[in-house]
Amino acid sequence: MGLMLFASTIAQEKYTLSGYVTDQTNGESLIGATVLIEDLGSGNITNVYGFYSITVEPGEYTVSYRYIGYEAINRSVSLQGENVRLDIELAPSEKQLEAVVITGEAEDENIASVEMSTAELDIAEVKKIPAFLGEVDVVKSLQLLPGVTTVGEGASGFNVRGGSVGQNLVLLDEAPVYNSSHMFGFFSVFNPDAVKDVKLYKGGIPSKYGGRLSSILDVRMKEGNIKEFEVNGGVGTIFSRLALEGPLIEDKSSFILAARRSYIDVLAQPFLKKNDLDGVGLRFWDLTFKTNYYLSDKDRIYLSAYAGRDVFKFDAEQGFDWGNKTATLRWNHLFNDKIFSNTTLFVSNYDYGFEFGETEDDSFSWHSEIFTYNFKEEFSYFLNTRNELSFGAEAILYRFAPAEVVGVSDGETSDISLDERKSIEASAYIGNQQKVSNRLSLEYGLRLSTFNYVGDGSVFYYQEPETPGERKLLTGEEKVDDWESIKFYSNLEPRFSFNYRVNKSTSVKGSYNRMAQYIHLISNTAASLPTDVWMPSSNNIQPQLADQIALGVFKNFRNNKIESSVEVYYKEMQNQVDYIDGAEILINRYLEADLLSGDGRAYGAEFYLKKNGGKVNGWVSYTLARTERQVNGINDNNWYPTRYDQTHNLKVTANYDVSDRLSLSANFTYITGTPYTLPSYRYEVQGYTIPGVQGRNNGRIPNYHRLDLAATWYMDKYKKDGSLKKLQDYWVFTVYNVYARRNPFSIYFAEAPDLVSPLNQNVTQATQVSILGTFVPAVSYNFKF
Amino acid sequence: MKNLYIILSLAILTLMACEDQVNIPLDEAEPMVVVDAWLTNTSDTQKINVVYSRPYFDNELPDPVINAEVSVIELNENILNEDGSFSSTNIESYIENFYEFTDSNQDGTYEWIPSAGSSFGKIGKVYALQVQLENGNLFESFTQMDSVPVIDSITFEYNKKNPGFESDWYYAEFWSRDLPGTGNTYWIKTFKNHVLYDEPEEINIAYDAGGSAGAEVDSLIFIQPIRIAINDFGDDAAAASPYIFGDTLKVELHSVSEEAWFFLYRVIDETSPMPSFAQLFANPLSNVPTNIAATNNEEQVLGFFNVAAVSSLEVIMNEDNVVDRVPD
Repeated sequence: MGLMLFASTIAQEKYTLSGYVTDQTNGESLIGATVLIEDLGSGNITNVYGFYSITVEPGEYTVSYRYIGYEAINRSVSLQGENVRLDIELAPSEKQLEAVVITGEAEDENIASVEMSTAELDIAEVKKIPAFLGEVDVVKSLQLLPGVTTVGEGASGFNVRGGSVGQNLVLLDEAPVYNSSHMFGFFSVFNPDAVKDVKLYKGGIPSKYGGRLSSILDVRMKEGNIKEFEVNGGVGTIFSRLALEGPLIEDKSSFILAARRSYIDVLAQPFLKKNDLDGVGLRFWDLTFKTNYYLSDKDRIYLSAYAGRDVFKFDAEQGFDWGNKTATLRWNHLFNDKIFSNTTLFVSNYDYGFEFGETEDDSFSWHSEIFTYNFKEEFSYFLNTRNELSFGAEAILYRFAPAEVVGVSDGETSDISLDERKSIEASAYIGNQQKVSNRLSLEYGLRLSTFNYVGDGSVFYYQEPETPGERKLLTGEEKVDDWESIKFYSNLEPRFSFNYRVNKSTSVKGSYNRMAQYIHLISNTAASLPTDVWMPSSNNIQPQLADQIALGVFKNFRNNKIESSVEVYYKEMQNQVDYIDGAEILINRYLEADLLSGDGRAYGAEFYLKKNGGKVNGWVSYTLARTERQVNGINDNNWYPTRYDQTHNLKVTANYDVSDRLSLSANFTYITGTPYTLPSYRYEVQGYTIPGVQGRNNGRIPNYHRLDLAATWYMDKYKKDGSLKKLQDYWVFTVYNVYARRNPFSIYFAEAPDLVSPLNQNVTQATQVSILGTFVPAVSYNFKF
Repeated sequence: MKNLYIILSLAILTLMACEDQVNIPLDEAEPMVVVDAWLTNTSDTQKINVVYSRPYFDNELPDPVINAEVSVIELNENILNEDGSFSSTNIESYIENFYEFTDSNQDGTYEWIPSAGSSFGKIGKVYALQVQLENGNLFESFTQMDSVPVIDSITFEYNKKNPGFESDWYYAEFWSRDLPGTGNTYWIKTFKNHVLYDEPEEINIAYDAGGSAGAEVDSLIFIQPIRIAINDFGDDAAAASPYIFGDTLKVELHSVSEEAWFFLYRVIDETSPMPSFAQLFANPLSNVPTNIAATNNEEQVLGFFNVAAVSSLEVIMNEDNVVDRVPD
């Protein structure tokens, strides 16, 4: 396709300038650095591995390499008669020396790039944002950007442009992380010391990504300092962190090993011991490891691994635990100066388990697991300065083991395990980024995705109930052979974006994308839980589909010091999973009978204003949005707002660098209360007061607002002679929810316990719950040497 | 069990969750007829309440539905379809016994009093409920009385004092075996010193020997969580023993229809308060089902009809029924 389109451009001999851009101090590749051929006014940006390639007519050129927070470098390059490989190291600018890692982008990248509806956070910036209990949190920080919301404190995951938590693909070095939270939703699983770059795609999603409806969160881990050994760490309120990184083989290989562990249980140990409660435990930890090796100047391999676990134990034998494990092996290969390829193999696993019972004669154990095995081949073909072609293919094997359950009652055993499920998701994509003119850039592509639900196990057939919203009736059950196809789906997913540059500081962008999602997070509670199961599409569950269009205006002021954007979006979603009243989603072989299917729609406007650099910097983000569902059997088949619908969502983040030693930061949040369901009548059956409702999500909890403050105090960086100290350390003091507002999470209705009216009737009442009822101060100490 | 609460309190202390009673203005609904008809094969007076629903925050007495004709018909043949629906239009030709319920106090409570030495109904029979209002509207429902296993014994498990309790403590367990075959459903009622455990979160139901449909634990002794759900472990940091020597404990095992089991399962969901952090796990509020329907009109009706066989055992806690099965 690309070749036909651009055949005319290859008439004349051309030469290629290519290479890697890295950080001079630690060798970390720089993602999204600008490489600009000044003489032509055109160039490229480095990819996620720091690679760039530009093909131009022969000549003598001045090439500039730029990256925010780094000193720009200009090089004279002679492209005469042969291709040139030029690897560049950029030095952090003086002001940024203390920052651990910097990611960022060229100054006007937001205007120049065809990308829209993306959110990218600088990890150094993230570290300054006041965080809950002082724990720097990548996922929570994303929620300060437009279009990203959460149901409330403690709720795991996040919602993007009206999508549910299960519609986000969270990738850690390309491997999916099924549960991105520790301790329900209070902390995210990503160790900030090991994270290099975080990018969220909310719309205009390139064709190389697929598999979820709403967003792709692409988290890239650091490669590890290849120049010198480095230790980062911190002691916080919840976690203690330690990260080691350094060269393994000079100029060839480096590693990073980062660990975090909560220590609430360690602190509580004396109390527990004294009270004979040994074994009671509440802890979570994670371990991140990555290493890389330069095989040649054309080949580099990376191995990354992550493991994390949350453990809640009531005593030595009873409790529950859950966690993710991922391992990714990647091989970057340059076929030539223009063709960059990446081969990925990964394994990802999420599991949880329950153990109950004080004796072997009466016990219950439950284990649930999802495995993902993936092979992916990606190519970038840097055709010329105007076209960058990408294509590739991917195959994923899923194994779902929803429940291995053994119950023992009075010594007799009952195995109520559910069948394991298998499915294969295979896809291929092609896309092109094309600069049509100096004003117009396009990105277009197509993804073909397929899904095969295969045996063995039992296949169930159901009949729709007479009344929508009730349990489906089982009409048949059949055993299928191993790998026998039960149901096959395929979808074509077109993707398209454009950028029209109105002038140097203004551009108009638009995008359309279709996304298909074949595996579904089954969750009918207010917040997503660690025990929520993932289910494949089947003969009874259709793949989810979404179509989204977005249009935006991007404008920078004062020489790119101030960035602003306004985006509007409209999204329609099909085959959204919902639940009958009383759905049993935990251990249920007939779970499909309890699922409903409906449509969703979401629309909104996102406003973003950001000030870069200077003593005072920060941003304001405001989203006006609506997200609704229509499901037969719910709300009299009418549209209703989802639990995560928030009309107004305002976030203000500000940072003030008072001096070299002190910086202050604040963020303020204002959110319209989320919907919940109100009762309208009551009646008694056998003495129990039963609420009667007329509709779904017909009330709203009160609005939410909160102010957080933080101060960062850097210890002396310099020795007496003016040279940098080896130990660089700082303290962070935070206060979350400064004015101690009891922000509501929900309101529930119930009969008051042990209370009757003078007429001997149960007394009904409404109770508002705040997950955080007060302000939360915290302090952490962080160091690097 | 108690440790779970300690963990959660620890967690909640850390999180500083809190609750406030609030006033919420609510829409009102047209009053609907509520039929509360749970009958048992005992010699007790059988009661069917027929009243109107009322606004959610109304703590007055419900308005009674008076002058209705309320009857339960024992059929001489099982004429129900697999899904519980009725396949004949002519109940009259299947009448084996006719029980007329009367409201002598005009308060919406319709009663049928068994004669001395007799009881209501027979195991295995199908029953039809008919409620005809003064305006002629007729509501109908069908159910079957299923068998129920006997309760073999009740024991009290000894436990050493620990931080959860103010002294050595005992929890009770009842011992009974689920009837063979899947889909047997039960409601277990607990009376401590003749007082029923009647809080919504104390509703104790079983699907076979286990907790839920779709994961049947068939024909075992009822699993431990069901056996011990006849105790009030208390919410206090240091609670009193659920039972002490001399306490009377009566456990009733009611056979309920599968529909009635699901109804109770839904009632637990909609009525048990989920305080503070538990709100993360809450489902949206929604209506519980009914198995009663209008037959000659479109009127909406609420409530449930079940006829249960009951087995029961009453004991007084003493040295003989205290055990120490579980090592501390």
